[in-house]
Amino acid sequence: MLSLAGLTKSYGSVRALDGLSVELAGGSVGLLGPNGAGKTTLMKLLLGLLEPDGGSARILGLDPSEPHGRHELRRRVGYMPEGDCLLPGMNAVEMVTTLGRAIGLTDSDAMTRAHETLDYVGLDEQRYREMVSYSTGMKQRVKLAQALAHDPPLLLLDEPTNGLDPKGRRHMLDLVHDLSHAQGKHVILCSHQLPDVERTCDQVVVLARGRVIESGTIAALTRSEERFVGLHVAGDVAAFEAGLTAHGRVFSRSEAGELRVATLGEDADGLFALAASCGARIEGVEELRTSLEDVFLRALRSAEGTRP
Amino acid sequence: MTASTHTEIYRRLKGQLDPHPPTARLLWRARMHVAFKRKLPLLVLFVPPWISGIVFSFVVYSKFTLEQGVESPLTAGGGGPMAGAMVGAIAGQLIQVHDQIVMFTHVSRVFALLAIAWFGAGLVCEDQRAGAHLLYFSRPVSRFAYFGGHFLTIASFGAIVTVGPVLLIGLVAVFSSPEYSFLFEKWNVLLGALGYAAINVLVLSMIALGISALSSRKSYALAGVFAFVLGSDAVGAMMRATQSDSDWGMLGVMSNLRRIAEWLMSANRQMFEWNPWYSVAILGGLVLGSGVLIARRLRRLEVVA
Repeated sequence: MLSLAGLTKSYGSVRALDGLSVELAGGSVGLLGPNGAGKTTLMKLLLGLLEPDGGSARILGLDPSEPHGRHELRRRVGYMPEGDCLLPGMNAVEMVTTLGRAIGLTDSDAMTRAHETLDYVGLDEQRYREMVSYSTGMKQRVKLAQALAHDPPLLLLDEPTNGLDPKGRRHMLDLVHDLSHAQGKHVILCSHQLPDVERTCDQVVVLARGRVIESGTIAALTRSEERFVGLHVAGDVAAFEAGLTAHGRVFSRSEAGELRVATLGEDADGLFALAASCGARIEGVEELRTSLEDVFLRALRSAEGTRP
Repeated sequence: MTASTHTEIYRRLKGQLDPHPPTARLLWRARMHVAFKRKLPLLVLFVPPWISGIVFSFVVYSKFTLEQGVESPLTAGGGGPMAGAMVGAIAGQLIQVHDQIVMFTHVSRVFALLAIAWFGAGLVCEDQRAGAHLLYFSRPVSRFAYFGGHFLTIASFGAIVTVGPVLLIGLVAVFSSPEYSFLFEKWNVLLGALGYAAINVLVLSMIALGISALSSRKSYALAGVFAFVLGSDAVGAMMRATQSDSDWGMLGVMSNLRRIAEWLMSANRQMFEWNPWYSVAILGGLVLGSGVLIARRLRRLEVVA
């Protein structure tokens, strides 16, 4: 589905993509990365809105840097942008119909598809209201509906759960999951919400500083050898953290003050000894499952070279 | 997912996609549809020019019918002093009708400015505010098609208030003149009036779109269009008055449009006397500048989310 080789893109002196290479067979892919990692630039390159400075990209077998490929690609991709994106002065039916026509649907097909996709996303009679009065959840659903108007094989979804309440978020994730797993769509989901990605995607690509720093199936990545324990530490915690760093342990501190420490495949005895030597004491130990968040943070640390 | 109602089921597209949809025309249709939803601006902006057009048409009609003998000199044939006097009278009528059409084009400039500013000022900036450009450009809609759709929209409104009434007056003049003499004697006035209406719409549309592309809100763009067009004329008028040189009128957009109107329609009484090609060059530069501005802005809109 997606093949990127040595893709580079710079804005002046800022290098947004730095030799980005990745191969994805298809399915549902979560695109993760901190702000400035190059996700948005990559999305634009995939749509052919930007031309790369170097390297090559093929999406669905098409080259977005070539005019014909770009034109075809935009017909085969459904893009759901981030934030509020509406056509001013229109209601949902008019918007989806207009955008359906713009992609090549006939008038009657566009109208039929508008109602079918709005039915699918669960927008009922509100579809006839002007969209300025819509809630965030309704706007997100309309955006998804317009991306589906031409029944594209690939969906690019940029932060589809932004601003949604828990119920709306669950509904949106259900839709995305259904599209990728039951309807056979390829989905590239760009999100800061790791649980959303974990729930809807089978694979992830983690970007940082314009490079792929981790990619693979979520199942494989969270099955890594590295396991974590949660430690409740009292005493000289700062000295203990310094000791962890000195011993090459990856750790992070949760908001509740719990330390998440990689065990490097050993049991926790070494950590007790280290704590004692640093004037700290471990009051509680809890084995933690490797989550996507752990994978993400580990990959980021690795990329930033903070791992001693 | 489990469907909670019978409707929440994904359905496949059964139709076909047109490989090259006429996106500019589609955008134009969509924008016109949106504009026609609100009736009050249409009423306020379209009724006065059409009433003026009807009034001018009536005046034109009355020039020919009330001052004309029952029998046309052209059909009556023969010669003599009576026929000569009637031919002279008709020539006088044609000149008066000619003046009426020129006068209407001067009036229509203001209507065109109002309609184009109102309907055009919000086009690009409101799209940008609503994020509509992202939806368009992620489809096979080129910047040129996007511009074309918006330009057609704004030009349509301009044409409704300029070309339409001019056509009406012209048709009335042609059909009420004896033996369609207006068409044969003054065809250049009709062509000039239509040509001027097109130039008027082109210039004002490009200025409105350019200012819209630079603005963040419709209200700012609206103020910008009026400030630019009327402000330039105010400065021109002030300089004309203080320097006692009518050529300073070239500073004003509307004055240049008036000069071109007088030139294209060979007006009998001309307010400005500078070389009309200067006006063509000035307005051409404005159109070109606006075009460059719009092109740069649209490229930015296409790329920057």
